[in-house]
Amino acid sequence: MKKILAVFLIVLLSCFTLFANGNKEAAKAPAATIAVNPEIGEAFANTVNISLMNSKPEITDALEEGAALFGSAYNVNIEIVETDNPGLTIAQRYASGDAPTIAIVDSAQVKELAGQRIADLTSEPWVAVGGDAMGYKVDGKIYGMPLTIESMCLLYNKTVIEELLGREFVPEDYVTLDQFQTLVDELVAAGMETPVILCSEDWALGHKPIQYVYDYQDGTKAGAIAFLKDVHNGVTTFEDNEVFNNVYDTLDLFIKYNINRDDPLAADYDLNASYLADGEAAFWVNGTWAWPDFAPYAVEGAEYGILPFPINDSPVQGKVVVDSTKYIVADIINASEEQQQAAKMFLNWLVFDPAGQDVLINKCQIVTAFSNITLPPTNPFNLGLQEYINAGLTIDGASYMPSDHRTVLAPTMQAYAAGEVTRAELATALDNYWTTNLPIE
Amino acid sequence: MWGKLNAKQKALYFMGFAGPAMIFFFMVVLVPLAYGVYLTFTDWNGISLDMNFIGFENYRQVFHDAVFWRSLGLTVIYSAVAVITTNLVAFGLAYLLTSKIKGQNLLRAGFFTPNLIGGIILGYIWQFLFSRVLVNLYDYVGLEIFRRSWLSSTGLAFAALVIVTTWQYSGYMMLIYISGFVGIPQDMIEAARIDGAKEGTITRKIRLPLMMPSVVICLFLSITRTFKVYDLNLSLTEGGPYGTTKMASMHIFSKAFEEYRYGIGQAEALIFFVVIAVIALTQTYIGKKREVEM
Repeated sequence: MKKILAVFLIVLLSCFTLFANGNKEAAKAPAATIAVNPEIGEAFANTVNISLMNSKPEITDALEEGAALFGSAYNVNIEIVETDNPGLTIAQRYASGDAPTIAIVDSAQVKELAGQRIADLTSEPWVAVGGDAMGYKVDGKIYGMPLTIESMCLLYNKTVIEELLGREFVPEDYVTLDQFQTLVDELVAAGMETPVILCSEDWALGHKPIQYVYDYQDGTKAGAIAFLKDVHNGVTTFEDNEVFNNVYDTLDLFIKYNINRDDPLAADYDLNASYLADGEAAFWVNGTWAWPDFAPYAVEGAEYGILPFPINDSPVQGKVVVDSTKYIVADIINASEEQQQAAKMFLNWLVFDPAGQDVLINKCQIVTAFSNITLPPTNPFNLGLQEYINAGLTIDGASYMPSDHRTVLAPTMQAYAAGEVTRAELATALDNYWTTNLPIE
Repeated sequence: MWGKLNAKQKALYFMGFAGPAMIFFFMVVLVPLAYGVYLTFTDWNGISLDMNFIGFENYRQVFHDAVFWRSLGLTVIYSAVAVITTNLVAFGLAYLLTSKIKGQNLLRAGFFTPNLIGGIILGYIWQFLFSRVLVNLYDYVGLEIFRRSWLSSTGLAFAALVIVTTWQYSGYMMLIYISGFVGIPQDMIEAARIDGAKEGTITRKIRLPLMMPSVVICLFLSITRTFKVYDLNLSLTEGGPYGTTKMASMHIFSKAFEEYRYGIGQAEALIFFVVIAVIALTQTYIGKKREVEM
């Protein structure tokens, strides 16, 4: 009796399983016949499973939406894994022989993985429409597809500035430090005692301000590297460098009019966002990436925008620092031919398919490096950045620092902002660092 | 029965009972440790396929890494201070909560609770207290010490770490001390009282010597825990202000995983391990010698 019951149960369960599978196939079958874009390729006959490691947590939901859309059209199942430490996670995944097929990483990881573990993407169709200019290259080959373009700059609250000045605010009129100083003076006179917001975090207050010194040497990566090499070889020093002193004149002004000046190292990122959003201060020294954190505080009807770092006596005044900050790479070690193919198709889908473009621009809310995408960015900071890019008013961001640049130098810069270290001491710290290190080309 | 078994049977029994645990201990402790030691002789960066043998180069670099030695020194000071405050507070609490005061069970549970909250959450709670609540309190009470956030000044940030550590661990140590207090035979204390000993003398001459096992355990636990502090360090001060409260664990983590210098980070971790082991074992050895038999 028991045996019969067991057999009956097994048959019943098998039926369920078959039925369930049948249902899945039935749901997917029509999707696979959707017409496809030539740049992307054709849908797979059998479902291909791939994984995607995302190190930009604020876009995970958007990527999941994109993965579902792409997956149903091309018969690919994408599993998304989120991490906030791409270096650590990708190292673990490779060590355990389970590397993600696609990974969104920082430049440091592309550099380490290139040539050994990730695909050479130089012949992909997106290279021709912007991938060449902004992609991550190693030995002349493109290994990292640029995901997002960001700018480190000043964010401003146009509404409150115009309210206080009583006239229209034209950002182009305030590109030198002298011009910016008059603006700050006017705002102070109109009752805003501390118009500037500085962060306290080591990456924001410690690491980024130093990069302005490199970025504004002559606005190019080559120029910055040449300067750092001169420091390395003892040809020049930071203290003797005009750009260094000009940048720090500007930073001194920020420090003087910092809304957190009573206790600069206790500043809170969310409070800072609310200061700018509510118009308690006019400028936030930060970058376009701040939007997701800023958005919850943004006031309906208020206008916000971005402004280049104001600087005296510089040939690159009025230009914003622009850099590709996240890259997409595709594994070649653990992924099968088919999986590698699916990964490349997904990248092309993001760039060439209208649905993919919608995910990239409207859902992930990023500024893209690809010129074929004509959708306008979605938030005021990115819209501002797009205008600077379209007008050609951009300079190269710093991406050549050794990996310990932040941990070694950021604390000294934070101490400078807190008034614990002098400019000369900071210059010496920079000299010491660069005489023992070389920029990574 | 054990005596009647031959060597082979004994080995079989031993493997049957202790084998599984030994296999896991071997796999998750000894193998990684050995591999970790091997990594200190390579230039591996954590990701790359290239791993070259470079001899003692990493150790040479560690000896030139002034920041590491400074953070190790800071960790020693922090541990010393935090171990003393934690154990004093824990001992005091245990003493009070075994002297039959009202609501002692509720109080015991209350003092133990901080230990149940993870270090990360605890750090964020206290960060909010130090940076926001106390600073706002200044507006009402006007105490100069609350004018600025404790976490943005070097000495006070260190003090904040010690305070939070004490708050976190003293409840746990308290439980161990309570069990020590409860275990002291009351007749001895009564005898001492009849002989005319005062409370202080009883604590010093009778309670403390009889509680040495608890003291040894508490010191061992608090020393090793405070030495290895990372979560609290990360969430409360993040090594700030400007890197002045970066403890050894945090420095090692950023060397290995932020600077991608895995070999050096691993070498520093190994040195750190040896330092903790020497201190903890010495302390246990000295403590054991002072234990008395009842």
